[in-house]
Amino acid sequence: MAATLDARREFRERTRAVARAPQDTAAHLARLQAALQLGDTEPVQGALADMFVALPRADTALRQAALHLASGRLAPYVAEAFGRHAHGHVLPAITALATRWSVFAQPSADVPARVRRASPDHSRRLAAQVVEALLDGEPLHAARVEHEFLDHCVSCQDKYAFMLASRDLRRHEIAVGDRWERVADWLEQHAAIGDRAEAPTSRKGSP
Amino acid sequence: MSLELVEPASQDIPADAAKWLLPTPRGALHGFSTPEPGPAQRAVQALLSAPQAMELARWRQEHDRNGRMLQQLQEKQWVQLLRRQVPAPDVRLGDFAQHVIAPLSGERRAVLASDSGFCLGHSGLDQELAETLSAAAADYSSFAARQARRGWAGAQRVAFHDDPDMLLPEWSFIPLWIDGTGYWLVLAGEPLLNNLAMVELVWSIRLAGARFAAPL
Repeated sequence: MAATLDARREFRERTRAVARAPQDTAAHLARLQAALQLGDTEPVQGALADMFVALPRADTALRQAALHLASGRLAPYVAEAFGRHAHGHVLPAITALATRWSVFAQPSADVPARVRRASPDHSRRLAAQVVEALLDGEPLHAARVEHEFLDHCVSCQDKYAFMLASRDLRRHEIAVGDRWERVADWLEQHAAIGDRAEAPTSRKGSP
Repeated sequence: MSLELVEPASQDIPADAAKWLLPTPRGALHGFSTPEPGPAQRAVQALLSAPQAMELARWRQEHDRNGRMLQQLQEKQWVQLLRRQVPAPDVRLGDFAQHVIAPLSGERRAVLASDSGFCLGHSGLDQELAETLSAAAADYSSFAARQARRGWAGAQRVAFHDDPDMLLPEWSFIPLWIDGTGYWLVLAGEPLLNNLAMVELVWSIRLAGARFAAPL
């Protein structure tokens, strides 16, 4: 866990406070501050989505201030999406901007599988772990980490983690096995097919 | 390889523009939270019975003849209207479970157990602890059933704390009933149930059950 226990306890206490008083502006801002202490992006995004869903949409100054506070932690396209709702447009209660740390806003399923299953924070950690293992790890440990990493990429269709790891391994000029190529092809194929394809009945064809 | 990680925020979709329907995380949690589901819970459960999201028109024909169920479920935020088809998880339950249960825990340490105490999947902890927690879940199932027989139905979910102020749970035990079978999710740290992984987990268990059911 990247976050310290104290920071997690603080965030949980602040989450309870907004759950008790959904329209308490000060409680939402305190929770957002607590989320910023956690180190990841997901709690910040989740707390901001809750604020946009639970507080009156007319309070645009507050929304813009909260977004400004959080934007350094958010991916640019996520900040832009919040920005579109910071000037009085409603953010629906079921939204792609909610995360598993939200309590009022619910994550929308109307997104690709990789967004439903993977978290950018976790993807970054897994990519760093596999690169570290393949660079400096003991061979058996490295093989296990690599196997688990590629399994994760396939099961969660996590091409973000795969892309990060592949890029760093190329940078370090680390040669990887054939399975990386097969996983890359598989991820590319699934990205092209998208969710429009009918679900196959088995994992036949997965790398 | 393009990275389209988060799409623009979804808008409220009018029913006449939507083609498919899925439970929200809250819907999945409530829809499978009891061994004796009511009409609203059965209507939610029906949405996760096929290898893809159910077509709205078909669901309305089968579960919303009077036209009020959709509105009721939307008011509870148990269902979501969709503009795109969403396929079920395309994975075998055994290895999918570890990927789908991990994000339900703030520490990414989680166990999926049967209510008879078998460990069906675990992530972030060793096999021995996973089996110990699965056995504890089975014990808790018996405890909850015993209390229900005595007339107290409140012993349904439980969290165990190490901290005296009971702020951050050490382990949370959450029961699910899927097609008449009891399961337990055992989650370390913050239970993060407002999570699409809830929908994918329940869906994958249902489909695995249907796939392996004995032929009639």
